[in-house]
Amino acid sequence: MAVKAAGEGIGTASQRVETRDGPRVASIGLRMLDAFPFVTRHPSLVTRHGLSLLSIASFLALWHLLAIVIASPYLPTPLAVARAAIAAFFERDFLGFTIQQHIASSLVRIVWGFGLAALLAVPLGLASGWLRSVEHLTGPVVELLRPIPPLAWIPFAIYFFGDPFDAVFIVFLAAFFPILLSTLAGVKAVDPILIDAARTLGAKRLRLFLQVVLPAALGNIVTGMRIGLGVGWMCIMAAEMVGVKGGGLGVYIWSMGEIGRFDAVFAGMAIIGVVGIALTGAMGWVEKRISKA
Amino acid sequence: MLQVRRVIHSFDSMTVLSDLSFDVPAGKFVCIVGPNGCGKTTLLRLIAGLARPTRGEIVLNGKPIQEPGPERGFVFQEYALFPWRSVRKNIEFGLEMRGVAPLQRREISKRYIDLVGLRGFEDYAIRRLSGGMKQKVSIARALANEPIVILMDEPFAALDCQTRNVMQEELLNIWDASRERKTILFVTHNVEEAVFLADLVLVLSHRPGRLVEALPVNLPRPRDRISPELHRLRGHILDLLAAQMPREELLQESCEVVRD
Repeated sequence: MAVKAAGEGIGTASQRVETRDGPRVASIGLRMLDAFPFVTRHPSLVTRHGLSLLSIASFLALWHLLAIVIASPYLPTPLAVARAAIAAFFERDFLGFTIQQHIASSLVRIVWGFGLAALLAVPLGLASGWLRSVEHLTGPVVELLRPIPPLAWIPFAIYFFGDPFDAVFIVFLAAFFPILLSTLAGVKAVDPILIDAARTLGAKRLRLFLQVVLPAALGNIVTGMRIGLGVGWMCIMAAEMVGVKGGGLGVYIWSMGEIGRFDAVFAGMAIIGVVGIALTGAMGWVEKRISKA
Repeated sequence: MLQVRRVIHSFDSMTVLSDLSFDVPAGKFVCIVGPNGCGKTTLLRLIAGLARPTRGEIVLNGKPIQEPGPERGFVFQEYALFPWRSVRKNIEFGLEMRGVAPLQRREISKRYIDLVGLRGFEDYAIRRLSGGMKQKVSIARALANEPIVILMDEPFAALDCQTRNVMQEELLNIWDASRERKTILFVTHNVEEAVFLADLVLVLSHRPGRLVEALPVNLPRPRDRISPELHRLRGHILDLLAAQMPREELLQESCEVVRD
């Protein structure tokens, strides 16, 4: 009866599971689990939110504990970080920027770099996926440049382009190749039978491309964009830390580290995380709009 | 009138069809049966214009076939529907390609949606349909172009037995209901299906495919699936097919199946 009272997942599982030692042992093992009623495969909504809260609370508690025990100037407590984060919105740092301005600088670079990359990589990927000759023309150069990590271009970019195009260029490189390769793969993965079907229905050349190849490859294109955006966001941080001028979240955390303000460093990290989530969310929204159209 | 004249087709060094000739009078329902790999699908693709024969030619109403055209509709075993389009939009695809105005497209697609019995499912996404419904969309899509020949490549092979029987009957009804009787070339490896549907059954040999026999089925419709005449015809075709395959090859093929 105790088993049944424990509810959904566990109760029924313990009656069904049979191990080599016989069903009794398994049943005892599972009954011990009954002490934790939230350990089920399909927890309720309330349980789910409760668990999320518990997860974050324990993380913060552990962090706090560690920070106090270790007592290092490089590991601030969560409370100190929160204070620094709030202050950063209202006070200018020694570089003369508020955190909003840093966020804006990074976002502008991402938007330009990513936008240009998408604008160039999608058509190029479509063309080289659909037309063999374009693939043979562009393929070797792409394979030559692709293995160079975008970050390796930073010295060149800083001295050649300068602010603000250096950072835009790095984001562009970071986003370009994932978008290009995904788009190319998307076009190549179009089921040939769909193309045959369209041809028997009277589709030719441009129509065939616009009405069949493009919609069929759309999923891959968007995936490439999401990866490109992620890589771009990573690379912009690195570029800003290395010496891109004119503010930015990477500049902020690096500068704060240099003057030993590690509460502000962690605050900056948290904000980078939040902006990253927002970017992913925006991409997801675009994705949904595209797939609905 | 569709004429296949001395068609030979090879992929690289493998000859798939060898010297195949036959005529199909307009408005006939023709089933093509033959062992696996005998070039049945290749033959349909050649007639569709999706590929060109290595030698020989295929002529429809006096015009040699060079490329795909809307007067020849194709229904694929795998449905080949566009998953990003609704039922209606799939059926209207060929009309869009031919530049038919939206209002007229709507009217025509409605007619074929009614014909195949999909009213109420116009705006459904393809993934929400059952196999039989998908094949109905595919048939309606081919019909909407008003083809004079419909090429069907094992269209019901992926369906369960009951659905297949229903679809066969509905296909005959649709064929009956079209304004001018269309010529249907229906590839199948299901002999029972062939004798139930066809005016004429073409039996192809093992690769390279040749015409073994053209059997007229002069029985009135609706046909009784278990009538002695159909049974006798079926037996005859099965004998022909069995004679097609040398014994060693039969063994070899079954081994290949096991290895898969």
